Amino acid sequence: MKKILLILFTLAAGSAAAQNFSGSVFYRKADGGTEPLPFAQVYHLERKNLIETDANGRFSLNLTDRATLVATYVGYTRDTVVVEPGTASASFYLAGENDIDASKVTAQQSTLPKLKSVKTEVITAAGLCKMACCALAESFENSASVTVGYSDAVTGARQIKLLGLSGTYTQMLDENRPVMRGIAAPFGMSFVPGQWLESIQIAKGPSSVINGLEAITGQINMEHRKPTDETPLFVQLYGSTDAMFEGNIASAIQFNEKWSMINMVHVGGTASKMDHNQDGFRDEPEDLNLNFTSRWLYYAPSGMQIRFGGRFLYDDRLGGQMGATKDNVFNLQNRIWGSRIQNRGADGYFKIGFPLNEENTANIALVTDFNHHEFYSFFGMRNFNATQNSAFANLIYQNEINDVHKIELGATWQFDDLKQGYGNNLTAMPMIVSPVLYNPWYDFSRREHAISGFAEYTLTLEEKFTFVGGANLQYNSLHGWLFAPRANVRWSPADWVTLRALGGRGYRTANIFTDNLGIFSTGKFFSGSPAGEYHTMDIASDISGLNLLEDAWTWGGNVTFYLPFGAEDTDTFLSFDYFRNEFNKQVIVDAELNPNSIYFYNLDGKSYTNTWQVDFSVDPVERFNITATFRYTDAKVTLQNQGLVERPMTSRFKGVLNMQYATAMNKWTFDFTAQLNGPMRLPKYAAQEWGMETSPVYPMFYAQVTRKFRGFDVYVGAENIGGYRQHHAIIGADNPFNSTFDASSVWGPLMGRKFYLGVRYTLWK
Amino acid sequence: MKRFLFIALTLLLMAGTAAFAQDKKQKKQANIQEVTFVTTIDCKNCVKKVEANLPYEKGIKDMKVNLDDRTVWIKYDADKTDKEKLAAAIVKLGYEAEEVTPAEAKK
Repeated sequence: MKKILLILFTLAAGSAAAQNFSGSVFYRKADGGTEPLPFAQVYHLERKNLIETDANGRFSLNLTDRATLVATYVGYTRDTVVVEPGTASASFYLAGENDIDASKVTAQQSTLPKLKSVKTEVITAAGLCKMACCALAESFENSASVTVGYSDAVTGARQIKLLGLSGTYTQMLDENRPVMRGIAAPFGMSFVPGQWLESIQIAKGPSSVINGLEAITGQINMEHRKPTDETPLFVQLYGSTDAMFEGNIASAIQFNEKWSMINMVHVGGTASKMDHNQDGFRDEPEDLNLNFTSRWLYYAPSGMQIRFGGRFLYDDRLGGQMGATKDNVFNLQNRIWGSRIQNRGADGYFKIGFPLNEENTANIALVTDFNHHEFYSFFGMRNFNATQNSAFANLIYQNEINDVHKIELGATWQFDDLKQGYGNNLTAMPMIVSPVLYNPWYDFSRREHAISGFAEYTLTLEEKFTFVGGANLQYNSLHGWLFAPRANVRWSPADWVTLRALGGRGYRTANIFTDNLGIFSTGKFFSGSPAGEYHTMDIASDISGLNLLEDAWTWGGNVTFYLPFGAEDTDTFLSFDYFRNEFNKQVIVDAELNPNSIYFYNLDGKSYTNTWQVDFSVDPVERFNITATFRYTDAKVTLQNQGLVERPMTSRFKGVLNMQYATAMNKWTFDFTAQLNGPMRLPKYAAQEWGMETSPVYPMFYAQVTRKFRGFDVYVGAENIGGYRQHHAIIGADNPFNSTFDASSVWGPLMGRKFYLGVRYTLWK
Repeated sequence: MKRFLFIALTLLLMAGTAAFAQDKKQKKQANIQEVTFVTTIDCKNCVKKVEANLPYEKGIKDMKVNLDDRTVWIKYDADKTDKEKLAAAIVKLGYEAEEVTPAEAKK
């Protein structure tokens, strides 16, 4: 039992004679048994006073009106009971906090929760504020695990890499609901405003079978601001020297104890066009992004929870040559290479969870989601249009049989209806002539149904050992039966060390165009012919014969040492990771077979990555944190005519050093981040063009100062302080309608140094 | 590029030094006292709320919220405020607060 804090409130010692209500507070032990809890505190919310239980865990008081009584005890959960007038007695049950929720994460910037069986990097709200701009993609600058880059020099689409592989192999979750799938993926990271988020969890490897099969290199889960946040108004404004701007408003309202909601609005974009390297192309597209979400929570006293909400997004961007307009007829008539991309999306979700017993150790949950996304674009002479409707339902039964055993069983239904296609010349544009008459319109539409059943078992032996094993069996209308086993183990033989291991299988259906958006920012022809003939036009028939299933195993391990130095109450840790990922089936996009074409074919040989990572974090003195992390990746892929080679455009290493100092109560916060970005193997055509086999190693520096006032923060910062840029990002920029044109070999920053200023205002309830 | 790096680092260091200096200045002031309250703070959001608001109460020099113990530790200038006002400031945010003597508070 924890040490008892004696707090004597004179109020409780009032006239016992007039009291008509008596209550008892119990401690519910981990094994389910109860015992009275003496000297626990009971707050009477309406009267705002405090009563203390006696040596037998009992208290009494006089009630005339409806009363909300909250029983609390330091180190325990609390229990709230609403007492109607006339009620004679009530019981309160508190559980030891460590018994039920040991993985409490406090508000540090980036943490390694000790008790999670999968090593999870958490970027909390404070961490999100370090890099104050703007979308989810930028939130990873402090992380070596995740590398952020551009997919090309035209669209502004940010791409992440985890374990050396494209972000399309990472499952994105929004509060444990799969998002950013299919055609919503290429800009997904750019369309989640960082200011909407409360935290991000990065788990490397295929951790759980509950959310489907698509996590191959890992899962990134985003937690949004919550309806229960006591912030009726949050406003943020941001502007930078490169004409990027954004504004966010969030408003969380609690109507009563049951209903609450949060609405969030985002307006952002890039207001003007710039061409720093004078290649005639905009460095970033002009862009307008609008985003709205509404999220609701109903929480019944019985423990039943309903969460539902929806989101709309609209984005319209214009890239390409400086003279490009949104009217491609005008562009093409004037031999201007332009690219306009419009994204429109709407989605809705509904989640419901019921406790099946009073303690909520057994419960059932249903998660449903519907997503509609439209993608209209042109890239020079080529048009690409797509519409996607996806539906998802996941039914999960969970039973914590006792402290040791827990099982989860469930079934998932996923449906994707994807209409997509491209045309490759002027007449493809429907506004001029019918595409059917003059021009081939290559259609790659598909419809996919998948039904899966899964089971997951968790064994927990106190805080020392956790084993999670599960399997997911799916019937897929395109690929037949798919089976994915996954397991992970955590073992802490002592307080100062934690060992973890995990492994498992993942599958996904490739979406060759949106997974590789950069291929459109080239003049190359698309072909599915593995022979690699020299082409003078797209050969779509071969591409349609591809097997789109991608199938990979990933396994890895981690050792984390908690070291006995550094400021009080903080974790100093040193952590080592190793992960290996190996593909059985993969769709290869090869731009090296010959210089004027991009070939799509199925992997014939090996494709793997090995990733090593070291992380170190210490607070040498209070409020001063130093985090250093270094990743090394060895990624190989078998390409036609080349054999097993280093995967192109994959950085070999990344090092990140972050220092943060805050004054008392965080009134001032100073952040400094230095990155060292390792070389990438350049594709052959780029290597020839630039006369180098690999891209250079380059550093990046970021700094930010935040000043907090009551209710609002002001922050100023600089990105890419060294002003490092990839000067020649576009090959053949002077002749973009030639097949040698290529804007997809981006290895470095396109924008130079920039300064920014932002304000955040929070109104607390 | 190196020049800019140098400038940036220098600025950062200066800012850091200024911040340290500010800390020191505060320590010089005479009547600094400490107090710990046990409160009804019991959620991460409650911690955020207290951390966002309490620092701006008059006379508070430093504070820490401990969610595990549900305590708020405050360092304050006794010439500018007192324990009752501090407790009232916590109550104003919606939480009960009762002083504990340091011996009782868990370290």
